Amino acid sequence: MTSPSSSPEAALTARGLTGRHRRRGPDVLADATFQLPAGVICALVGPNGSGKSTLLELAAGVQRPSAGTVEVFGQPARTGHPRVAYLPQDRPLFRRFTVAETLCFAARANRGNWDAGMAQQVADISRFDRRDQVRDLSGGERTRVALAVALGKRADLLLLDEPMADLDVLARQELMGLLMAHVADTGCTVVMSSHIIAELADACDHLLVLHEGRVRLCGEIEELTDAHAVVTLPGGTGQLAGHVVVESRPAGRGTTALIRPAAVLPAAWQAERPSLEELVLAHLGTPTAPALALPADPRHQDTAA
Amino acid sequence: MSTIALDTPEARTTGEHWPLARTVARIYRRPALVLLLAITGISALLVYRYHGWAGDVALRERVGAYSFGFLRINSFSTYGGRIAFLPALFAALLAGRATGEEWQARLTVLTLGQSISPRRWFGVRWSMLAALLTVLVLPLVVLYRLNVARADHLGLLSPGDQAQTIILTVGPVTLAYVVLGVAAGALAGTVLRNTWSGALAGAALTWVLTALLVRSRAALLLDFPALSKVHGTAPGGFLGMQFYGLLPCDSLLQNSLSRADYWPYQLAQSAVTLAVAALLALLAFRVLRRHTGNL
Repeated sequence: MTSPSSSPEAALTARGLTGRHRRRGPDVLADATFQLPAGVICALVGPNGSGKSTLLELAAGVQRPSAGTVEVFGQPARTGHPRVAYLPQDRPLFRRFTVAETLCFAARANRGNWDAGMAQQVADISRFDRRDQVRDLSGGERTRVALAVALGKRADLLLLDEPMADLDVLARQELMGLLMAHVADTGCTVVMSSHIIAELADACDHLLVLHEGRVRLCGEIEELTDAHAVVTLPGGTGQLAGHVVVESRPAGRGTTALIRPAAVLPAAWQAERPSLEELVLAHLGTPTAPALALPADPRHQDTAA
Repeated sequence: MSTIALDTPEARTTGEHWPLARTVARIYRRPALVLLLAITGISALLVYRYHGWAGDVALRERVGAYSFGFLRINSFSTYGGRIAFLPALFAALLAGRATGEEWQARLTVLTLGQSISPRRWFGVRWSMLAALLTVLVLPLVVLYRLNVARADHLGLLSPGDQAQTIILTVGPVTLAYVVLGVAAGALAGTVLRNTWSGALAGAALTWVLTALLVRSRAALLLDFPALSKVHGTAPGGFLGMQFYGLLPCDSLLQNSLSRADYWPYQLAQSAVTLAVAALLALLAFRVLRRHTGNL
């Protein structure tokens, strides 16, 4: 994987980024190198323990890398960055604060950089009693309040760790709609982790796949799917020599495989473009397959905030 | 169900110069109320004691100066020791607990994720706590000093260890010890990033530092030009330190001072204590910088 050059239009740049939970613990994220252009909506995908939350914490400046660097809009990641908003997975909030007090704190801590209307809309403030404290809220309600704090901050980079977890189907639909409308209005960059690939496929245009702390795939979803093919061919896998085989399995008398074609495919083969889900599952199911990081698409840099 | 009319700063920004201070005041509301109740109770006892001194003149006539000192002055001196040092230990517990809890409960991810620097957030948190505790402890200091003045006016404080301790121990330096406690708690909480170990380590650090300050001031202030001529101080206790009920006790230097030395002694000792507190706060900010990578 080539090291990305520093670009002022890049929202997030990682070079050899390594992170640990404890100083002497194992690497949770290892030697991650990638670049996300400004203006993209990036799906961050990987199994549990793959380093998604660690990557987001490093980008938010909450953790410090044990090796490598991470830059946000060309500057080293740090806490208190006015252009970065972070929604952590555990939704930390002051337990004894009411919902109004929580939003008031966020407004005070982001003076001149706070969208009160957006925050109230996301939190759906009318649903809460004025005496409701955060400790009395359900998981879904806490998520709403935490998301309101993140989206209320007028940030150019939103780091959202499983933002729709704990929410019911209706709330998911409503909040995803609000998030997409917010992104369309502001042109901000979003990095959003989730386990539900179908949900991300509709919303995201960029993909970053992690597995066991390493970057497996990175690039625009269209380009990544275009770079792969699901082929069905008669016979065994020997015919696939010369192509990068990500995953293969027997199918009747033939073979079905997800490959990265290195040349024009024979006409006898049945080839299809893989879905996002097929692509992700194949890479996660075959950790030995070579990683692929496509260079950032310059089209996105025109939409940079 | 009464729904929320959101009271955001956008709705009322006029005159709000200390926006974060209001949030921090909200965080400390519960411990402040508990402390206010405790201080109200102690203040009531001191007011009661104040009105009791007049009757004690007759008591001293009846039982004699030695027995009176044993009955009244000793217990009043114990009050003084507690007022001098317990608020500092409480301040350290509270600051260590609040700081450690913020890290342990990952509330720093929320607070430091906003558009404020770690130095500003924790600076406001710690200085608000120091200001709050100083304001709450101030009435105790004033009431204790009023009691001392009243007893001294009635001639009930005869020369001796206890009388000198009573006269010289409590004053501005008591408030400086509170600031020292907050700084020690802030450092312990930031280093350990754990609720209870932060609280306990903060209190332990404060206890050690106050004991060292009490012991070292005999040497630091011995030839201080503003004080009267001091003749050799008596060594005693562990490494020359003195303790009364585990609280640092001070009679080494004070035995040699007069009533006229009260303000120079208090101000010099406060300056030394505040300098140590500033050093601890500086260390806490350095550790904070190491944790967060920026200030």
